[in-house]
Amino acid sequence: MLLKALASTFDGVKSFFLNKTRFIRRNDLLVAYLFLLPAVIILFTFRIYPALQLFWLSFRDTLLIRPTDSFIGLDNFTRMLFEDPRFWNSVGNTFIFVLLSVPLQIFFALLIALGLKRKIKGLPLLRAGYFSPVVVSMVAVSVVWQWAYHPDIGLFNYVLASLGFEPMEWLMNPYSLLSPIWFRLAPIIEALGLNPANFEWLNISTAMLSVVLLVVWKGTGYYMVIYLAGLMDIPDILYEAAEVDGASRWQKFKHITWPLLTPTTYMVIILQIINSFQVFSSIYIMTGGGPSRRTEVLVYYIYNRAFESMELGYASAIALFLFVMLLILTGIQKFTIGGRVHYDR
Amino acid sequence: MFKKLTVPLLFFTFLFLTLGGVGAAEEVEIDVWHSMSADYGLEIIEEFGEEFNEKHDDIHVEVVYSGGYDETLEGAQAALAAGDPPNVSMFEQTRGAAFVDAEAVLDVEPFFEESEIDFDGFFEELMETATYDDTIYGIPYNTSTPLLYYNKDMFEEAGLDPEDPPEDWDEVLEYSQQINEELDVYGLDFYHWGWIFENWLGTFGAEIIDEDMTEFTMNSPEAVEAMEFAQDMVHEYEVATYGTGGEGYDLFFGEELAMTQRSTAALVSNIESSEDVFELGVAKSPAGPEGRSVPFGGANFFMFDTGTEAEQEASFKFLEYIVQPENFAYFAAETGYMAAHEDAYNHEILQERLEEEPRAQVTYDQIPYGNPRPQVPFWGEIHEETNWFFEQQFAEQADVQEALDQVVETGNRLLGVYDLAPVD
Repeated sequence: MLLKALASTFDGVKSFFLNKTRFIRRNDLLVAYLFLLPAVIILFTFRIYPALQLFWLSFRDTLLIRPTDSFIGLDNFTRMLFEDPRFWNSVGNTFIFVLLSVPLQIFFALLIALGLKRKIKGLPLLRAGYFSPVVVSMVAVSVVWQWAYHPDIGLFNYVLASLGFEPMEWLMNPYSLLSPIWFRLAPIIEALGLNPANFEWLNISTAMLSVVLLVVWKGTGYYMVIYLAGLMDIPDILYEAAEVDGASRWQKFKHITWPLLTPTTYMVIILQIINSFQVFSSIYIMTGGGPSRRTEVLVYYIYNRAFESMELGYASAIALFLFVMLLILTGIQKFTIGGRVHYDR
Repeated sequence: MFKKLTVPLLFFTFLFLTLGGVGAAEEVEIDVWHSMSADYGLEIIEEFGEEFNEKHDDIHVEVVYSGGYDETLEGAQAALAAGDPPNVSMFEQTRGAAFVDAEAVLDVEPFFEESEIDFDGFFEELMETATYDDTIYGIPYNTSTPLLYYNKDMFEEAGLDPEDPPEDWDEVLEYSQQINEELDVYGLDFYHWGWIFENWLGTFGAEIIDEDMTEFTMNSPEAVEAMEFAQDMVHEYEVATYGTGGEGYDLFFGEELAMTQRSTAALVSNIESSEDVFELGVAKSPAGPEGRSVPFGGANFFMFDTGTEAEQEASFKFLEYIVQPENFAYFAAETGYMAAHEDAYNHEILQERLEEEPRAQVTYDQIPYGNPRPQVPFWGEIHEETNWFFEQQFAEQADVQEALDQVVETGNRLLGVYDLAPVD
């Protein structure tokens, strides 16, 4: 996107100088730049300038409100990588969150999109219904879900109880039904000569699963709409041809729908991974990183460093780490999944 | 096109500047941030603001509820970083230090030189909470201590004397056991460690940090003893519960919990909540092996080093107004917070209130055992660490010593960070 924009700007500049009719075009260009100006100013003030400042701060020992600071080279980074178990815990938690929430959202988004593609009664209503969580603010939703998760008066435990199940401590339980995996893994990690304490994020808590559930519920609608658009793009002729050949429903999905959706899936994955790595507000509202830091994800930890211990410089270093990690991940995706995307139809 | 506009533009600019100038000379505007929500003094401080504005033609005070203690702290940090702090802000006891460290707040003592308020009349113990390195940066306002609230009806049902509340932790445990046996309810609750942590440590003779603030000491044998005692109440004797503060209150007023340690600031609202449910008893916070010790909670008002001299004087005038004996006594009588000045304490409004409601007196009786809370500029992080410790201690039943060691490690590292950063 950015490259394209740059290229077209470059074309504009080039033609500005080369075109013979430039005196007429010059006015057009001026108008175009004027239209772009507000966006550029906003982008620069709220995105580019803070990003540059973040880079600058990550090499300093800046404390949030203390007026003086100094350059400390790579100290923030060595501390982050070698002396801060809480940092690695938050990295681990973030990966767990991404690995759980991304596939689930893709699965449900595709499933619902496939269902809503058919011509069934009340279609607009259903589509709006599935999409509605997306438009509500995450903060508001988190507050509501926090109540739904309340161990004594929450909706979820009410449903569980009426079905005859034991109530659960949704947001407060540091263990979960996935914990046995961790208990098997811990001795192996120890046998490998590593400190199991550094891998406790592998013990996925009920609290983490509860947050994932909320995020999946809220985010699926958005990706569903993207999938729906992708599905609409697939020509009906292909399905008709397949039917003539006697293809089953599954075969049609496997050989037509899924391959032709890969560009959509590729985009959804990239968007989602970037989004999921930056999860914050739901965690901030519902768990505060707890219990026992089992839901402390990277962005929450950055927030914690910047505003609790007020080590702004160090927080910036972690934020830079997140930026670089996302950049690398997007690059890997481009060269692995990206190579297999079918653009030609 | 622009030329045509130049003259009118200049004219309006001129008009705007001169009129604005006249306005500014007449009225000084100041912002006052506070964290007192409804039930905790919101209406009263707003009332003071309105009264003050009526009495002063030359000053306009904007009293703003800036959110709870944490929101106010974050708001003020951001405002200060942006170079535009409020004139006056309220900071919770442990949060003022960050602004003193940032050299962003004013020494208040010189302002009192020409004031009608007797500076020496502030209770010494409470003034200490606003003193940093012998300089006084804050004015104690909504200060408080933790009390032991208890359900007198339950005491009676369990065969205990409702007029004889437990004096120390051993008795709290004994009473809890009896109550648990007789009524099958909890004796005491624990919620995320904040100042109650300091209260427990203090009664066992442990300190959070050494006197010169060079080292955290909250993993001392005394501290471990205190925290193991608390852990045992939950897991060994199974007579205490833990959770969030809100859950504890639900249990207490739902009569599933007999005793709870809460601030005197909640006195008025607790009395209201207990009406028609049970008779509410209020006792001093229990003693430990080393006697009683309570931390002073609540908040103080600070003046930022910002604005003109006139603005700073106006800010002080407002603070002076709210700590006048009559106003301060009224505030304390209506809320349960402590009047931090002897003239306010002795004022008839408060004395009458204490006579008709002896439960409001308990916090004043605790003043001699009171201690200021730790004054490190990064307390937010230590607070977060003690919450983590709380989960280790109760939810995970972790080893108390090991968990406390980890908190101390974080604390000591931050002491290093804050000392090493150069200060001009």
